[in-house]
Amino acid sequence: MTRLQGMRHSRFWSNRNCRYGTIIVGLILLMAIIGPLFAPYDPTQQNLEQILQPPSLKHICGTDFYGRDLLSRLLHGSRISLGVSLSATFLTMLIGIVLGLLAGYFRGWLDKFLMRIVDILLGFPRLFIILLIVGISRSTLLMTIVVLAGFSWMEIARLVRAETRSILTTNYLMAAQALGLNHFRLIIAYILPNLRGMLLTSTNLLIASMLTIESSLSFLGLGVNEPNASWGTLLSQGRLDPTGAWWVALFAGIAIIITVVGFNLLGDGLNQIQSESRT
Amino acid sequence: MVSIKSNLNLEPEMNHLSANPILQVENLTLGYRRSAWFGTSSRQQLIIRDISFAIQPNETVALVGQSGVGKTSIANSILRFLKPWHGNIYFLGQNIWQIPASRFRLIRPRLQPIFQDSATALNPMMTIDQAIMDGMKHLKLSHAEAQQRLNELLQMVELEPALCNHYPRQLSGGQRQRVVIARALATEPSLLILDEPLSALDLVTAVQIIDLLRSMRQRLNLSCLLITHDLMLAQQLADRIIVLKDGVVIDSGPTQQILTNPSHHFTRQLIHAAGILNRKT
Repeated sequence: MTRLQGMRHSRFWSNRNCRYGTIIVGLILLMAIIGPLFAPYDPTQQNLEQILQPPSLKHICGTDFYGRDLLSRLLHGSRISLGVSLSATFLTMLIGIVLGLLAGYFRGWLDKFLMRIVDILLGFPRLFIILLIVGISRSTLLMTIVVLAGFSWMEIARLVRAETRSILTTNYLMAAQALGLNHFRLIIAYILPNLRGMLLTSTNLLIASMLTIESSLSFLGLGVNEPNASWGTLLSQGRLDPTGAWWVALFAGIAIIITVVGFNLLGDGLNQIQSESRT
Repeated sequence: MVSIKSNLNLEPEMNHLSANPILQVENLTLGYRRSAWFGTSSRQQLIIRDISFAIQPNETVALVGQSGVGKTSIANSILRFLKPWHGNIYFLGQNIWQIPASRFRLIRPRLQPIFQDSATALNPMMTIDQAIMDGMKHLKLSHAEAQQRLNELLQMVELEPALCNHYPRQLSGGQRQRVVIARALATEPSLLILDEPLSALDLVTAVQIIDLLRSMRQRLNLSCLLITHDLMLAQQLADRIIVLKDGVVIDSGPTQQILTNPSHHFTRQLIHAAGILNRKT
């Protein structure tokens, strides 16, 4: 590890938001990766003799309206919820970064064309359009991911475009142009690495936002279909009897809140480090 | 030293230009257009008016003038970053604003800038060896040849090879300026544009960099365009001096002639000011 990397590493850990965010996100990801292996029951197995059992030693998070173990469904649901939000974030970032770089670097008619598309898409209320498309089409995980990404890349593209344009005026980029390097090398080695801080921050905030939207879609019955579980579908079942069977929605709600807080803390912490290094 | 010119894919006409000037600037007029009222109108600001000069092989010419007179704009125009309003710029016999970008890219590495602030002239996310190696990209050297050339360049600019894996912010101002010079030399340039190369350095480091630039110039037969407000620096490095004021050339000639027998009272003021500053430091 070089001295600079060591310095960044210590700055990362000395930032409280980064530290707590990393721990929370790490634990949530660990739960999604290995949690289902430790699930006590089959998450889709119905047991009509155990309907709506409150939390107990046998069912730590209780059971739902079909007698399914909620802890098992929560652990399996974490894979779907995090999988959808991480995949949608990855696709969003990919589209946003590529189009933002193209618009910011090449400018001219390409910039104008792409930015007008961004303006038009930003003019629509995002959640309404997503609900409409997911509602009228066959609701699948892939469809949810594509629609989420398709209507979320615009802010990233704008950010990347603005940062790219500011990097284009720096001395190091002018010096690199004077070396006769091609566009690909300039973008990959000189522009993209200098967007890293901003992209890391945006990614973490976007994951939290995607998780919320995915949960909202599932809550409205437009996300993951039964018998599969996501945290949103668990939350949705809880609304049927929120006072009587409070445990159905509680644990899924807590999982969503902790995950969103974790990614937001990490995003804020990275943003703070980035701001400090600029001053 | 690894041969470089043989690898350059230049047109034949560019390879036998030694009798001609390296750089020729003809009737250059520069300015900026500033948009106002959401692009419905624009204001024009003239910076440089109808200036001409040439730089011969192995010659250093200093452009001297107050801050804001337009010296850096001339450099930007020569580097094809700022389009002139009028006039022509010939580099190695090519009218750089008339040839297509793809053709300019072939000669571009032979025209290297060295900016005043070395802290901003290097990619903060790139190590020193990567930065210098990028200067050799167009030469299509093998990895071993590139590594050999890197070592030669580091030796030439008196940098320790151990600094190769360092990032710019881990180096001192003087070390960074040496890296910038090494990167520029990696392309084996015909012309260096030195834009206030010492203004961000302390006096001791500045003297070391002057010595380095002087020895590089002699060793590699480089031509240089020195942009400075400091007549004493021009005296150290330049063969000829061109003095600018209010966007026009008011004085030009061999360095000794300008310093001993200036024709314009502004040049005399500059010499007087530099003398006072020199005595104070």
